[in-house]
Amino acid sequence: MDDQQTCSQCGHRIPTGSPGGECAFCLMQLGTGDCAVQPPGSFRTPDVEEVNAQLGAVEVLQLIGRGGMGAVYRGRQKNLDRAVAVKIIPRDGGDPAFRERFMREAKVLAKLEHPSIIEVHDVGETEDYLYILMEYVDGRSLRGLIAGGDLTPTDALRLVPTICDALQYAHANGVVHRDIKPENVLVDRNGRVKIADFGLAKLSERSGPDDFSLTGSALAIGSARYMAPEQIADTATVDHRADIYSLGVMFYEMLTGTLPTLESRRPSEKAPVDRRLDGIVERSTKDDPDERYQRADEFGTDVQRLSGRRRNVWRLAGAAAALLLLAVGGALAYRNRHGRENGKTQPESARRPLPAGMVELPNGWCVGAPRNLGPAVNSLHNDQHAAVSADGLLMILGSERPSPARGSQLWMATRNSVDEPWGAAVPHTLAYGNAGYWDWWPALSADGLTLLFASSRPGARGKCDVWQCVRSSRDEAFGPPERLDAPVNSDYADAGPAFSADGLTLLFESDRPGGEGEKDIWACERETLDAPWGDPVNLGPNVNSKGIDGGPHLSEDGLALFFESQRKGCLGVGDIWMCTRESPASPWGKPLNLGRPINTVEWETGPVLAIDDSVLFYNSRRKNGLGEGDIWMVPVRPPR
Amino acid sequence: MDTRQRRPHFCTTSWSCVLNAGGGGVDSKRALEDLCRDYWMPLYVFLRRRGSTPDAARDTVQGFFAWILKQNTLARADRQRGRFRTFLIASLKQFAAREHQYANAEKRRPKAPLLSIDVAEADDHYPVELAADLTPDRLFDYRYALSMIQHTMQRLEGECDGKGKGELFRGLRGTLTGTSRRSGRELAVQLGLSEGALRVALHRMRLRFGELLRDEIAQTLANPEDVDNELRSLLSALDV
Repeated sequence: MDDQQTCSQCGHRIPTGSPGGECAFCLMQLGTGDCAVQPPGSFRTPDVEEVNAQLGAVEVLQLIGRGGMGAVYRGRQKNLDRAVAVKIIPRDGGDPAFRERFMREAKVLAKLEHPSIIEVHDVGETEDYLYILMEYVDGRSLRGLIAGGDLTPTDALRLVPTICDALQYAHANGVVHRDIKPENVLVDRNGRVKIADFGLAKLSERSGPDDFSLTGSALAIGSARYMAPEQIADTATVDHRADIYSLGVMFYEMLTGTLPTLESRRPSEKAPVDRRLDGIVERSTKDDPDERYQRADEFGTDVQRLSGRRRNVWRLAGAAAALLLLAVGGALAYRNRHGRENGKTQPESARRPLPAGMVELPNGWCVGAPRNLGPAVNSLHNDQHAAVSADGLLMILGSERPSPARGSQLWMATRNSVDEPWGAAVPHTLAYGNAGYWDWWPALSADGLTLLFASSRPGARGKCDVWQCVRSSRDEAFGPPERLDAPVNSDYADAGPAFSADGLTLLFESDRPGGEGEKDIWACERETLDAPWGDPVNLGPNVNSKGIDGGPHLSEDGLALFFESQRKGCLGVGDIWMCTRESPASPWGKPLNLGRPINTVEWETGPVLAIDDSVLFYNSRRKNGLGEGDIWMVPVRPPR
Repeated sequence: MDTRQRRPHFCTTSWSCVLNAGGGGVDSKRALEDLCRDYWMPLYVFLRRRGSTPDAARDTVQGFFAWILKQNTLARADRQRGRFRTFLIASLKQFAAREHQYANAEKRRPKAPLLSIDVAEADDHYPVELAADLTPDRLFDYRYALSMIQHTMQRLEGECDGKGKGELFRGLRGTLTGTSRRSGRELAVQLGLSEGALRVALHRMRLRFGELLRDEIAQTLANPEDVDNELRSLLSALDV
């Protein structure tokens, strides 16, 4: 056996049995999709002192980026006292004509004047480097926004037409970018797009008819994922349509968070976005340049048309403010994976300003970023469902934290105003004399005088029933629990109760026969608060899927229903979904997944609205909570 | 249709193999065969590194697969427990400990071997030089990572064959990592392609290998979103 062969690229030994006699380490690298392996003799990034020693006019402060070709630093141009970015490129590179090409390209770039293209201030050379002095952008790259989950499809629809504008301008001036990818597109603090490194890729590309070696070419695979086939085949034939291809790939990534595969370029197969976007991405990434959009502005116009709105500086600024907030508070990450499903939009003038940090869903509801309620409410154990009074001052939650009784019990937290933090949760005053009852999924009436909860305690009719406790004032303790009679409870499992704001509708989940799926949401109504509940009605196929649907909660006006569903299209085990309807008498519309970061790959359940429908509380089992499951809150805003 | 290999896999994922193998019946046997074929080598080198002779290591691996089927361990295997890699090695250790305790491997060994393991050939793959430097667990990870690469390459080959591109695959085999010294022009002529078309084909072959590798890894995880973490672990396993 021979285990002594080593890889010429990474130096690892090539194991016997490695396919094709290739280095297993380098093959594994292909799965990362980037070019972490540096070729021998590749660019070494100099530190700040080394660069400062050679650059007189600029005080270099910090390394902000590096690539195979060079490095970028943040600095200050001394004579004008302005922030600048300095890109340095080693001058040798084994190509004697490199300097001439560089200077020639730099002159072309300096002539590009467009608000979305980074301005080139100056170029120059030092002993070891060629450098470009350019506008410094205080913001984040699309790469950072995508990786942080901070870019919504709505943002993508707003940003892409602007990128198209800039590309169209450059193309009209005879400049092809050649390296459009998320790393090269920045979004500044005002939400403005700035494209970096125009045309620079040309400097590092092969040219001429020399025989090509198969050596080292895998290293370009990171950038190559965005490259048009003709660019890979022969850089000499590349025209502006290569940029359109790259933008198509990047657009897909902005919409879905991942790169398209060779098998599928349809974003709607990966994320819940408007299917009409599929056509745009597919057309821009056709193998044959003649079949693509022929102009960047055609691409931009199609995206704009689909986003259903004219671009508007104010709204872009609003999106930017949101992005900025997201950038500042990492926890505020929001990723909503919805496009405009129906294309129906209100006129711009009728829209209210979008609060900072919030994103608008296709149904007009706005949602912000979720926040954990912290250790006062949450424990190191499973805190499952919260019931919150309409005024937001009382919370009852089902929790599996240790207590005198086993199983799940109801705990209570209160506060004196909605601006205050919640007080520490204490065991609720329900009588827990007997250990082992499984009491969970509480719900409160709007006035906080009736408490419902699910339980399999003795006296239950089915596997699980809905029980009720009442009191006559908020100062009293709740009375003893009573099992709700049929038709609410059945011989099956009935749980997840919720009152409508007026107390005349009771929603709950049940696995009783006659539904759409494994567990469905049902509603009973009554004439008055003292009248008995009528027969339950199944909420129908838009709300209920073939899987599990439960944990309903109605908005105050009764026009929006939030619930947990384990249907197709979930990010995790179960997600928070919502349906809306035109009027209380109308049927429920199509369900909408609230998306990231409200939902995660784990399990979200038990949505509850409170405080004039301005806050949605829910349970999430995401990994960064305190315990197995925690109560989280997210700011929301109804459409009207 | 599954085109992972020329002889198609019965299971589509490592975890579905596990669950099927635990289910009993004909399906169970085929699933178990797939499992054995795919994963016996990392287990074998682990045992060898722990001091087993080639014959004993082979018998233990054979016995192990029979045992997990008989004990219904696989039926209880819970995908939620996490990585298939961890499950596999933990189960083997458990088995090896019991076997040692009872010194009774004969009874557990199946009457007919589940798969034919040629000890001489197997030991060719036992990396003696590496073994000196690595703990048994690290050696297992190393070999496991290599198995993932092998499965992926087989899958890529099966896929290319299915699309009538088998010849192209075999032409490009050995050039995916970019370390080949072959002339691109020569290879283009051999494959009857223009140089440009060869560049594109090679690029796509690399991309597809990367995609299939990620998919292969995802199938061994409870949470497919952990691919990048597992990929880092596998890279680190190969970094010896």
